Amino acid sequence: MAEHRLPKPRVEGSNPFSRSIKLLLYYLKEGDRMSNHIKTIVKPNLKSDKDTNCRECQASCQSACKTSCTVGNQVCNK
Amino acid sequence: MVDLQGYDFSSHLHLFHIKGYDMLLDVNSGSIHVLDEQARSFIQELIKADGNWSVAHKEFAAHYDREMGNEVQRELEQAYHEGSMFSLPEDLLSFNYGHAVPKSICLNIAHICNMRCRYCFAEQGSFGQAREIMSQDVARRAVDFLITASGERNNLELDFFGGEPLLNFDVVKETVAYGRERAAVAGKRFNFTLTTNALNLDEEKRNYLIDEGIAIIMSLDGRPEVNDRMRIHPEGAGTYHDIVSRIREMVAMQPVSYFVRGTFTAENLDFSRDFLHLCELGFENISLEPVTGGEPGIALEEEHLFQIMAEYEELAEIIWAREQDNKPVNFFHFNLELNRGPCLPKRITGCGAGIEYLAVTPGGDIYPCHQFIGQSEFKMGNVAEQGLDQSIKDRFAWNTVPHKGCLQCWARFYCGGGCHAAAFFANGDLSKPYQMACAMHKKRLEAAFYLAAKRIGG
Repeated sequence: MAEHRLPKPRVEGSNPFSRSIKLLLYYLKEGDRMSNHIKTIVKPNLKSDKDTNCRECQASCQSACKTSCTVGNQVCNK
Repeated sequence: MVDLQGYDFSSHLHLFHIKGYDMLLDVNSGSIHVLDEQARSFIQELIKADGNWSVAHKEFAAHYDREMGNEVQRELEQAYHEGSMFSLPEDLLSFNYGHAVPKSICLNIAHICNMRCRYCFAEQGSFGQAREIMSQDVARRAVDFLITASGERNNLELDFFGGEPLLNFDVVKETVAYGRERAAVAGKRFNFTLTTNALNLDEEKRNYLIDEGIAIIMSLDGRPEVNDRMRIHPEGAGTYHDIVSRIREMVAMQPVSYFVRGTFTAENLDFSRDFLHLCELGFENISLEPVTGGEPGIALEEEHLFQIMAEYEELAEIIWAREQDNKPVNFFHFNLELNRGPCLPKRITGCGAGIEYLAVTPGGDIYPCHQFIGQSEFKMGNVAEQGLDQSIKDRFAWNTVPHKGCLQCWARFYCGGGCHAAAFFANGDLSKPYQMACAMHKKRLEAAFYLAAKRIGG
């Protein structure tokens, strides 16, 4: 894991409360979520609002796929 | 504290390890996370404790600093509030095909073929039917049928398939011209694709496909000896040297879109070598599909899965190494659209066979997809008539993710419930997914997620 761990802010002291506050301040300043341990690489993306289900996107078998069903690689046409 | 008591972790989270990465898919939101050792360990404890944070903390503290557990919890809760962790399912039963209409046709323009591939599901082009080619009249009726049946849909698709479509090239050309003319009048747009074995892909045809902006899929299995064991001339000789130069010439002309598509079988379980060979030939868009069915010795069996999984991981490594070397290659089955992907209704209704996607035989008969051709119980109509068999449409419209027993599967929003035909031919039941395909699909997804992680944090 070391190769892709996020850069961790340097915080001094052994008091856990103080350490947490310093971490929080660091991430507030950076404008990012605290993410020492969890790195989100894909944000929420499954849509189902009123603008969906337009059915204008490609049929999955109209491509290199003729023997297995793959919908996750289709692009939304909206 | 986020209340997770009763949360169905096994259906809504997928925690997995691949090549040094601990990763988590939050199934309902589509979010993907890379975890460090502590986060992975804490989540495992949380799952074991059925969402009880206190128990998870206690177990976690047996191995790690307690404050570390608090840090992980804060991050998990923050992700939860962002909607990317512990998300809940929507009411999938409320999604259906709605106003879906046919918009895509696989036009089997020739039920003849100039190859005799050993694994051909089309029985050397005929699909168990008469060896014939489609007439101009039937092709025009198919275009008319689609334009009328597609109602308000604007983007239409027509794939020239077979058999070998280049054996009926005049009708291909006439159909493209006719389709464009009719679409313009109707205010619609046709996207044409053509799937070929490339044997007849001469200069005239290459120029035509380029001029008309037709996307092309060309079949080649990989290394010469692998290709030539399967893809053979009628008299038995291998085809590699006849087709590879034609495919390379076609690719050099920069078609609007292309894929070089191979099939792997039990005889080349080391198919990452074939992928590498196709890369070395200079192809940048490659698909390698597992064989469907086939004679004993060719068919993929459960005992092959271990090696197939390892090969997919190897493929991911090859792709990553090439990207580092500024020689990117697009592997169809790792090519996930992670941010602009399809909506949930599309994801749970799958490929659209029998509803949006239809196949037409040279005689004009309509089937739910190319793989069902020749199965009389699935004949839905004929292009000479408007209208489709409602009972068959209903069978396919019902056969969506929530009805197929896939609601507990973490891959449910990426495979659309799997291939209807594979389920039918493997299990005799449209709604019973073919488990071999499921296993391979899941591995491809994990490899695709891994590549996404490498690209972002690599």
